[in-house]
Amino acid sequence: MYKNVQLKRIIIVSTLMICVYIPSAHAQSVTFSGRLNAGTGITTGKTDENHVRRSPSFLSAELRTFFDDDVFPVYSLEILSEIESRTTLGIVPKIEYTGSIGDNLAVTVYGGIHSKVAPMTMFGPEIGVYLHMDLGKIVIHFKISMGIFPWGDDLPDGTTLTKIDFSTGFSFPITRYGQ
Amino acid sequence: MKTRSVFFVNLLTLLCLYGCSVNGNPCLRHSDCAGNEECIAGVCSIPSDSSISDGGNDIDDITDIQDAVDVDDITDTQDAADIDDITDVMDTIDSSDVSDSGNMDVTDSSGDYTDTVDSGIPPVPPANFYLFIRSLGFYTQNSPVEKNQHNYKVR
Repeated sequence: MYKNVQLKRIIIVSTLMICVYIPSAHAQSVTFSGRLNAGTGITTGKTDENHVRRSPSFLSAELRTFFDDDVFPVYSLEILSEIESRTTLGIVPKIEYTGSIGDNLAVTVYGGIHSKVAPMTMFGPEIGVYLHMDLGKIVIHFKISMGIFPWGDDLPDGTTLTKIDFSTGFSFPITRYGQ
Repeated sequence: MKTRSVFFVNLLTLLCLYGCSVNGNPCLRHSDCAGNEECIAGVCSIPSDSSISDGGNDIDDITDIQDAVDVDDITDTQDAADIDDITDVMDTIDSSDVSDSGNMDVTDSSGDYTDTVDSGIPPVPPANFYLFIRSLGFYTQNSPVEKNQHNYKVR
């Protein structure tokens, strides 16, 4: 029980540190945008033997923040909920870099910390790639992410999980402050 | 309409809290299983209730109960009812001891102990019971009345 509380504190503090440490002192403008995702994937892990199974389907919403239209760093906080088996809630604070590869295509790579916080905890690093396609009225994306989860009370003893998730969704602007 | 929406909200709440029972299904983490299950050795299973061992019924208590009934006590009891007494009781059993009620009074040789034993013989009803039945027009084939009163003819 104490271990669980301690793990949740680490997750919350690390999330706040990433979100609060934003170099906004010299920024001329700040822009907020959002993303909505839905997807699933595969999970591998070793219990008594290696298992591979489909990951629970999930929905997620992201809030992105960037300054002066810089492509790096872009700070993002994703709130993710698995909706199969048992409903879970997770947060993924991350830092992104976005680069254009054409008039209507862009690629975003990111790294972050994936933390399941309820009903049980699971904690580990995650990296991923977005491919954005500007269709005129809407920007859709496809995302591949990979996370490794060595810690948390959601894991059976001695188990480390690896998740590869595939999702799709769309991006939308929220607001912009400054010049 | 309102009742239906309340029902669906409750249903969603239950699903969110407990999920579907997937007992026996493969799993990789506890969240793959229902709320009352855990992922043990790659399979969803209901964990053994640890409260049984923590509730005070532990092995020490059982051992204490066994200690209270020790071997000496059993031996003493057997000494009190020894084989001679049993033989005496059997000697006193006679067929004449079976009463009309089917029970048998057993007394040991010293006369200190008397007990009533069911002999297995059904109780014998009085003879006038069968006469009463006959007066009503019924006929009982194997009644003691028939065996003892041969001159009686059924009308």
